[in-house]
Amino acid sequence: MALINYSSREIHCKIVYYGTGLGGKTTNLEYVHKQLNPTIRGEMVSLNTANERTLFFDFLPLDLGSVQGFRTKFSLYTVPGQVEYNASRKLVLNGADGIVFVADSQMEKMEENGESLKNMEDNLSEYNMTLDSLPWILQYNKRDLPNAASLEMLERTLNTRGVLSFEAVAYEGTGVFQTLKAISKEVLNRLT
Amino acid sequence: MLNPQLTSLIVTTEGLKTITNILNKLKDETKARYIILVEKSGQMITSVGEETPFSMPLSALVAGAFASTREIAKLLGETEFNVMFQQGKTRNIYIYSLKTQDLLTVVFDESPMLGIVKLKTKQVADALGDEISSMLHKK
Ligand SMILES: Nc1nc2c(ncn2[C@@H]2O[C@H](COP(=O)(O)OP(=O)(O)OP(=O)(O)O)[C@@H](O)[C@H]2O)c(=O)[nH]1
Ligand SMILES: [Mg+2]
Repeated sequence: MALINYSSREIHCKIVYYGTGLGGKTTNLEYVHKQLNPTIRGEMVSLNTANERTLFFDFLPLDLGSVQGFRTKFSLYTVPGQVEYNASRKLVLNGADGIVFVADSQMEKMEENGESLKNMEDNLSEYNMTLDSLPWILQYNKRDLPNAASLEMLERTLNTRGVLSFEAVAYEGTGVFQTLKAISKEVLNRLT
Repeated sequence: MLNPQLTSLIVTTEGLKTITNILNKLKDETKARYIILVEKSGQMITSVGEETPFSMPLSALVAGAFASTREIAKLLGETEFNVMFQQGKTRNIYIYSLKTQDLLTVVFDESPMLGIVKLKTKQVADALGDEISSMLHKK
């Protein structure tokens, strides 16, 4: 839920990275954190399992400059992708202003991607939201892997609504900022 | 101008003044270090008292911790689980869920103050909840 503060002239928005386990959501935030100057990003907080999988969420606050005299502050969150952590996923989704769905491009992950997308819709509906009521975009990650599905196939399977989509290799940073820029723009477009 | 269509909470200058006054009084009465008002999805609405560089991650974590406590309550068949308290060696944190589900978060040093903190947060909870409700923009 966007928070507009007329007193401090700030806009706060929440963006959630959603998708299957090991798809690269945390890697996206880590790359953003590593690349940005500490003056425009805060500390990253990760609630992990012992083996570095997300248990509850990752959180990274960013200051993305001014729009119409308001400073725009974004809170980036990831959800835990592992199927059994749905309760946590639902909690993190609360109040989201925009979503990046990170799909794992690997051929054998196609079914999991679809299930995760369906799960996202189900969880959104608990907050009376649908995929048509808030801005969301797709990121096809792990494009570097030899077993990655073709772009056409990913589009056909996952992008039935024709939202913006980006190819990425998150651990190298390819596509990471492109994705972030696109979703933050879409979120701000709704507000201004 | 900004389009409040998707916006759910618009913090006005007057509204913020009212809230800050309530929080400052609460801070004095409870000898709190600082008090943070956290919107339920994890963003800070405002804070009073000592400046902390961690207010953003703190807000995100407080909202996360409370949200999971609330889910635990549900699993236990408990509906009235509206307070969370953690006691440390030197710092204590008391979190009270307003009727809007936003979180009044009081950080204080002296644990004997707990009774006062409990009493005083409860006394201001309704006024704060009303103020936030009046700033909510429903789609
Ligand atoms: N080959 C390849 N590996 C990647 C890419 N992006 C991330 N990885 C790796 O994939 C693994 C999982 O990445 P994470 O970012 O932890 O995945 P996640 O989506 O946060 O997973 P959960 O927290 O379990 O939901 C890590 O070992 C990353 O280094 C990529 O573009 N290509
Ligand atoms: Mg993760």
